[in-house]
Amino acid sequence: MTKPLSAPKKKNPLIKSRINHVIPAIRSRAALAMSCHASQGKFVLQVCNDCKSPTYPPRDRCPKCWGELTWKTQKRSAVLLAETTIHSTNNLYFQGHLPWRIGTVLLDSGPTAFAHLHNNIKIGDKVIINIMLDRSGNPALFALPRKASANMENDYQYRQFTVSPKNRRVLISDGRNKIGQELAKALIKAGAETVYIGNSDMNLLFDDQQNFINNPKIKMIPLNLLSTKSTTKAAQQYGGKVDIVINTAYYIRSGSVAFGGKIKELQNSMDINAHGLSRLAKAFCPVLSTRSGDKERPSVAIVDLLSIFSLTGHPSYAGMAASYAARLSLINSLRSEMQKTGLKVYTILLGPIDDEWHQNILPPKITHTQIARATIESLINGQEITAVGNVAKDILSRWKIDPLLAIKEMNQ
Amino acid sequence: MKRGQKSYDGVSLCSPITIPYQRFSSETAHWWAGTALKELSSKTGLKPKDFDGLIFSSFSSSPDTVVGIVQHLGLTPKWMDHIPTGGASGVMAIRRAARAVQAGDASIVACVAADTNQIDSFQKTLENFSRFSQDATYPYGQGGPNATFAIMTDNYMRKFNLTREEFGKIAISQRKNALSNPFALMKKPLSMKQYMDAKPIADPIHLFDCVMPCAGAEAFIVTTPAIAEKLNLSTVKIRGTIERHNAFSEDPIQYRGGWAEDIDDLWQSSNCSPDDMNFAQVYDDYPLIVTMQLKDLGFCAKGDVKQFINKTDFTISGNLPLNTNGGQLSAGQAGAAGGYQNVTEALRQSIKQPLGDQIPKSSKGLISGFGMVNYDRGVCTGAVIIEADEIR
Repeated sequence: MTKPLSAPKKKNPLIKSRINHVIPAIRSRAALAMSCHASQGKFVLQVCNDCKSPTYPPRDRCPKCWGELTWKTQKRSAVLLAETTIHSTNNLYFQGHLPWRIGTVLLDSGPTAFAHLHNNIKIGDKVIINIMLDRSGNPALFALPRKASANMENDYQYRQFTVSPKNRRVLISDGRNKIGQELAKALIKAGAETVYIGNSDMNLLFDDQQNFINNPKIKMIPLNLLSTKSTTKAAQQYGGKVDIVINTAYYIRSGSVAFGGKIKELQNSMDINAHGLSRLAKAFCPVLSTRSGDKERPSVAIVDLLSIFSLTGHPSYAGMAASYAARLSLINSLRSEMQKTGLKVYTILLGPIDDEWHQNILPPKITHTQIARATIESLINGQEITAVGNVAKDILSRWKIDPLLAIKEMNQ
Repeated sequence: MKRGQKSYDGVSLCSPITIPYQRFSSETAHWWAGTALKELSSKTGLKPKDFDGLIFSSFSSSPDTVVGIVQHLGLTPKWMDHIPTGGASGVMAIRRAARAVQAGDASIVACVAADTNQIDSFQKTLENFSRFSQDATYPYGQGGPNATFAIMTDNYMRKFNLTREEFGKIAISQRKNALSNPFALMKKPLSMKQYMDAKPIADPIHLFDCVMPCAGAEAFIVTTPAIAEKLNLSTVKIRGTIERHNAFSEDPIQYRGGWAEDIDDLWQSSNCSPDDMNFAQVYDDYPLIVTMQLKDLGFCAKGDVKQFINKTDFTISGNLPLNTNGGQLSAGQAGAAGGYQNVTEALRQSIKQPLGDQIPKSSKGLISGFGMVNYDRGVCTGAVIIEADEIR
């Protein structure tokens, strides 16, 4: 059984940290496609359009009949056939994590594959295979015990593929809003060691502030995403102490483009949503990157919570959607930038929220608790892209099938 | 569609060349190939224009293939081939060159495998080995081939009830053979205790199950008996051959190779049996692969593989001399030349010009090749039965 995680030791400041090595990222285009499914937590294999055989590793044509291949969801079940524990590697990333255990699994859908192994499985066991994203952001098969057990997610190897908040120190960029506050509570519940919440105006009280201050694991810090000076100062002071940064900056105003929309609101939206993210990333990513290879206390992720309308636009929240589209674009670029450092970038796509800023929008809407829960789940499961709520899920699935049609439908 | 194999009459294998291996070399694959050709030339008197055929194999000549080598080394062949199959390249070179000579497409074919081993060569080869390994092997702990063969060994040991001691016996016997080979990189005897206590690399593979990557070159000539006689070269005949790629792809984990599919063709076309073999030079990147080849090629048909290993003496004076130069396990693995050293050693023993000790009787022998773990298993396999011909 997996042991409960013990609190990481305090770092000796005289010891040089391990550099942020990553797994080499050269992959085929087909493997990249697999990683897109994996980022949404799906288990997919290519299946032949003609003979219906599933195949692995990723190919460009069916090896049985040369038909064309399509990615399809497959059964996750498999059997572990053989294994090895690697004690020697010429790769700098894995050298920091030896010994490392892998094995060959026979998937119930047919193909065999190498997989990283959870410590609780042995040869002959039926296992569950997840496609995780490795430190280079590429797809990696991970074999887990079929039956979940206590502390299962604490497995050392498995933890290299997730960004679980357990025993980690998290910074929430905006704790003045309800998303940040609910998230802080949920993170503590999920085992986070400390949650720093940013407050853009320490002199201005917010609802429930007293409760937050009373919780010894929550620390309020001055952080204003509108000010480069503020983000820089916060990073200097706390960048070395946080492992996960979650951007909850949130600015929603209604208004279309030609009629009723105000340029000033668009500017505000941009400044908080897009520039704010940039300021946060510029301040925190470099310092977090220096610790992403640390064995005891690695920095692991940047998480951004943003509107699903970043994908499609929204006719009556045009400026808001535009600023979120800019934010999503920045996040996508940041993800590839961070691939070289091993920091993961997570995107949580939110449907309309049940709050004062979405009064014109019909239900279903999502609650702050729902957002917090989905975010924690995505971190624990290592799922890089998560849509929260039925609206966000629906828009994302339409957008994946036909982005132009999804945009058209949304803007009717 | 099955057709019998035509004979290899009118083909002679001669002039085995081994350029002494070096653990690391600052030279290039081109330099090593040139060194091998120079040595071939000084042994035979043949000049660049005399070779009308060339086969080349290398992992470290990038971006050059045989084309680059031809111009780099000033050859003007009318027939050439690039064989990118590592451990199977020697066997495949014999097959291709022999048919070219038989058909008259070429008369004197130089078969050359050369690889350098600069400090970062091995790493580069691993990283760029194949698309499947980049997508689905290399990112899994990056144990290199060690991890893949460890999984195969783990599976094989359970399937055939083997222990590490059987693999140890192979490694130790080959080390014994290597001690008389002045070119072998490993110079000290190996005991079972040393083998068992060695550093773990990827369970159940330990240090002495692994080869030492190095730089080196191997070469030989394929020509007609008449030309060989004119050049006063000792010759070896081909009795029969097989080749197969991606066999048994439905086996979840590799425990047999293409040899098992074509074994009958090999022995029928050669008109002999495993019992007739005076020696076996088989590809030996890991003792598991030696075991797999001997089993698939029919050497332990009457008993199980465990029994066979335990009762066979694999040393030069034994009942089945195996990898008599020490093989790659003890002599070193010079990249693609590792897929040629089994050929050159077999030829040398046949014409009684060994590097080290001579096998007492060496008229018939087996050469077997195994190459390219493209993903989870070796894809390329082949074997040749040879017979000593003229000794000059």
